[in-house]
Amino acid sequence: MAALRVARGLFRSCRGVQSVDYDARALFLGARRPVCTSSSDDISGCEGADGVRKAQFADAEVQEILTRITGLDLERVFKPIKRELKPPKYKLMTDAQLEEAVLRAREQAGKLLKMPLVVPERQPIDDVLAEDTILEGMDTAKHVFTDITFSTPHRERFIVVREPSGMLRKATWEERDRLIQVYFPKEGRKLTAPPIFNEENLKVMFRQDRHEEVLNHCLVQFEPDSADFKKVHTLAFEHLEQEAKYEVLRSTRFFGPLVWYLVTRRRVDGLLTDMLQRDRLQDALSLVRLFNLVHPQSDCALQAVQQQATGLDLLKIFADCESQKSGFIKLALQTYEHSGTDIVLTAPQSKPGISAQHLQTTHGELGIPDYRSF
Amino acid sequence: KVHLQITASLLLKKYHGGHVVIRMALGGATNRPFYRIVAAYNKRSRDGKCIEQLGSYDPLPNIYNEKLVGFNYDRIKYWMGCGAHPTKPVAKLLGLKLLTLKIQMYFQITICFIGSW
Repeated sequence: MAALRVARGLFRSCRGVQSVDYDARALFLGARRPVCTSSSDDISGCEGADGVRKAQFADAEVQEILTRITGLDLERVFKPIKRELKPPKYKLMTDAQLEEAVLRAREQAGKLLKMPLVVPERQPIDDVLAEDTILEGMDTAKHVFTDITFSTPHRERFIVVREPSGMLRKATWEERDRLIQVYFPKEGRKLTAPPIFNEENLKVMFRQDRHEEVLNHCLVQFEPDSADFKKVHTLAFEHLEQEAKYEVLRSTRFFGPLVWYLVTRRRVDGLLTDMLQRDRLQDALSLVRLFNLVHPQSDCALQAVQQQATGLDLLKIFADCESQKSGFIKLALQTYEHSGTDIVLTAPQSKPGISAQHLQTTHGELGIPDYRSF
Repeated sequence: KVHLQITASLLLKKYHGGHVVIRMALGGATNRPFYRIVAAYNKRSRDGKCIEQLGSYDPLPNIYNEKLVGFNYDRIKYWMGCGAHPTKPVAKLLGLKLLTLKIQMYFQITICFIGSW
């Protein structure tokens, strides 16, 4: 198995994690969860109090907005990761072949950037099937019966526990996860959660800006609806929100869940200001549109619908109604108006000597540098 | 020698009056038993060639004080349908009351008999 080299010092030192050696990404590139296609409940619930349908994470429109906001930075997605050392391969290509290769790389990157599920937390199982007091005292240990039929999906597997008191009950979620890992082991998953997921160790990782590694590891270790999964994600997102380090997760598969987390809690200001600072106007507009989709009853959304606002007006309405940093947003909007940048979605023109600034302003569909111009 | 081997395999192991059982085959190490629940011919050796493995049973409790039992219920139902007999420990694990009831009845009858003396 490709070595998942977590420092052995983790288990020995009580000082906590000093440095963790990670082969995480090499393994976890394979651990991709499909985006949920069926409608799933989210924190906001399926319908608001007044019967208006709120947007869910799995909606096509929401997903499309989130993928657009995430962006597609090829350099970032295909960052070199620790792998088995092999001599590098060099290929001689024509321009056309290079374009083709870039296109294929973009498709692959799109697959790699598929967002993990955001589902509501699972309810604990406490179902007693039988109370056979006649069997009391037969044994001092519990018997755990698992159905090992290969063809049943893991969610539908029967796992029951016979307690020493004779009670026959269904196994709890933690027991289920552990036993399914025993009989059907998944690569990269441990039976007990590794100590990296303790609070202090998580904080060390966050301080070193290694959120992506931790979240990848979490994705492999826990089920998406388990409490631990949610806890790790919450901690990571809270830390990013406090430090305003959104760039850490940009163009990774966790940017979508991060945006969703912030939007559902109406704490979009930090992210919005960060986008405007980096001249990502399209992203900012998509963000406000997403906010309106998720909170259709808020003032901002209602006014936007009234005035049929698009473009800068949307941002102005949002700045008036919802945001706490309205001053900064309005200032940024004024600078845009004065500089007269075209904010309609257009494909970038292939001019010679494209600068990074130009790339970020005309972010739109293509976020990759135009090789033809160099 | 080759000739002898061919004749031996030709004889095959057709058991006279044998039947399929679902029983536990012992494995593991010294002072560490581990049972595989297995469908095998009655006359075969305990740990020898089986027809199919249907599960496992770990008699020593783990750190969570659990004894892990895994059953492939689909295949067990098939073999029981084909007429396989489970042995007593397997029946006990499967929760089949018939076999244990029989023993209980025998017990009660003998106790009554002894009591009536």
